[in-house]
Amino acid sequence: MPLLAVRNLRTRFATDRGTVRAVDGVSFDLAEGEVLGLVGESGSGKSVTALSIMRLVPEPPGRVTADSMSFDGTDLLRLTEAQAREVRGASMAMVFQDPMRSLNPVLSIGRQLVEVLQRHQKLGRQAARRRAIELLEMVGIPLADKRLAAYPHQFSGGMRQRVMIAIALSCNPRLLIADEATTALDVTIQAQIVDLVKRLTRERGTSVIWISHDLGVVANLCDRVNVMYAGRIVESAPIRDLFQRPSHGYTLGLLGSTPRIDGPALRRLSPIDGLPPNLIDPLPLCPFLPRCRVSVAACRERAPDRRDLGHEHWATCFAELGPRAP
Amino acid sequence: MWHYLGRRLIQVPLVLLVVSLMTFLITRATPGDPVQIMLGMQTSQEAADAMRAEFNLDRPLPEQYFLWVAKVATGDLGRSIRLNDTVTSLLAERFPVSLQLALAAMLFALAVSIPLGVLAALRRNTWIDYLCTGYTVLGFAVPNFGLALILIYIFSIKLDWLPITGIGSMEAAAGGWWSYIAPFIVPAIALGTLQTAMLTRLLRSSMIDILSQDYIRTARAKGLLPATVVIVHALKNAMIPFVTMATVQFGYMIGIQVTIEYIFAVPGMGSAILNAVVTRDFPVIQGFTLVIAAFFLFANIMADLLYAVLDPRIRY
Repeated sequence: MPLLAVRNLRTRFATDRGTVRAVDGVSFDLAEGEVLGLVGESGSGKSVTALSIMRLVPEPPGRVTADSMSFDGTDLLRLTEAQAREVRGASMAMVFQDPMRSLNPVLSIGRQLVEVLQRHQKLGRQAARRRAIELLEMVGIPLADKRLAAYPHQFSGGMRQRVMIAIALSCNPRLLIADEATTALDVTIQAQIVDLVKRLTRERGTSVIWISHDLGVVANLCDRVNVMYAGRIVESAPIRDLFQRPSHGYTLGLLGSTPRIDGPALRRLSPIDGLPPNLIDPLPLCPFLPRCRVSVAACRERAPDRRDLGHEHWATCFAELGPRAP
Repeated sequence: MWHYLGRRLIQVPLVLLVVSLMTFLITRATPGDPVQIMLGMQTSQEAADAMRAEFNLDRPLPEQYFLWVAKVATGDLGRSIRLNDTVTSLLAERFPVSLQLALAAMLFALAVSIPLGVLAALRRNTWIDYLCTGYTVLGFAVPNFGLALILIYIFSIKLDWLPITGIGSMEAAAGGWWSYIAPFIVPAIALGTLQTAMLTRLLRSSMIDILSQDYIRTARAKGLLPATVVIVHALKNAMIPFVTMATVQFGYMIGIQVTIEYIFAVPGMGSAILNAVVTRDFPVIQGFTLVIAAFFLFANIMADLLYAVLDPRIRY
């Protein structure tokens, strides 16, 4: 049984201009210890999917529905808010994009670590403090016992994100969701953070949902990838398979707009033209159609169904793309 | 920190010097002769001259000013022309009364604005929020003397729960704690309502801003209890501008009590200074204004220091 099984997740937001379908029928499984990438451009519904799983979507204006969303045997959508609070931060934790803004500026690092431990593990003051020092050492913060009293602004960006990871892993969660966790960091720091998450989650068998628009990071870290567009998963594949035979027009565009270190030096990046899709009145067709370079006649007639490509690889696309040219 | 405090304290005498010069010039530029007001029209020229000489009013203006400043520098604020008393001893009587009233008004403002501001922010755009903001609009719109009369009518006359006068009186001081506190309640509400409105608005808007910050989402993602999220994570941040504003307002309150003092017969600074203006009692006007200005400066420095205490990012 998978650790997390999401079926037909829909998250909508009521706005003045109509209902925004931020997540529009997302289904996927996440196995114990699996690292899943969630890839797509801004507004594709990656973060809202994560927040829906964490039960952090404010309702109203949001509204989260699903046929089922089971985590470790319980249906997350059936939990009361009080029950959801017991899960959040304990068996399911999240790391956010900008560690400067995600840590409270007026509370010490120690305080922000200790409060989770006291909340979920019912540790006493001293025990929580000792554990906090261990956690900071675990994420590679030197002189951890002296840094407990420090405030977020006294840390560098990379160190702050290490603190966020320490907080997230403090109660040994079964699932870690990292939402653009390296996007705000320098490239060299990014690699360190990715390695840290990789090592720590592998040691503990923690499942990970890694949200990013950076396919390079995802390739380095993930077992499989879900490509999202307009609130839907348009392609899902094991990581190697996705790079070898991208099978959706959008995935192809995404790969084309990512620079490759091993490609020809002067190969031009090809950006995806056009605007992001309208999430209020979606087309009854493939949402990527207006921007697609590989569309076929069928694309203009009906919406594509999910097409199985073997090797646990599927895509919702009519175009027969074949293996990608090197 | 100490370095900063030192720099701020050095500025105080300079600001006070400017204030003293302004007050001096304004009193002298106002028509009206304190000696004539004091002695009346029928008095002899000799008596008037003697009195002018006693208060240095016969000397040229620059000399008057410097003589006064030199005395102030030694801690002597001079004698009242009208009342047979030194300005310092008048202050010793009046300042504590005004300070207590300002404290009472500020306590009321804090006790009301903190819960209202937080509640309005948490229940934004609901009837609770509209009720809170409606209250602040009234607080801004109704002048304090008008509010004072309404409160007197309701609580002192109709319900007969609270006394109208008695602040600083012998009976109030001699009785128990209730007879000491009771006369402060209605004046404190009347005086503090404007500050309540101001502070509620400020706290509401900063709480709304802070509740949408990423670190609040982090706090919720940790599974913390809503009370912890609001009080520890949000309110602690919102308190930074709030406390600063409240402290500055407190410094301001000491000098704006005139109407309230008149209505409730409070023997405070405001009524004393108004009497002094009416009778052109120059030393009293100058001395009291200087103390009010000094208190305001002191409150501002306190606000800056509190800012550094509350916000770890601020280092002077």
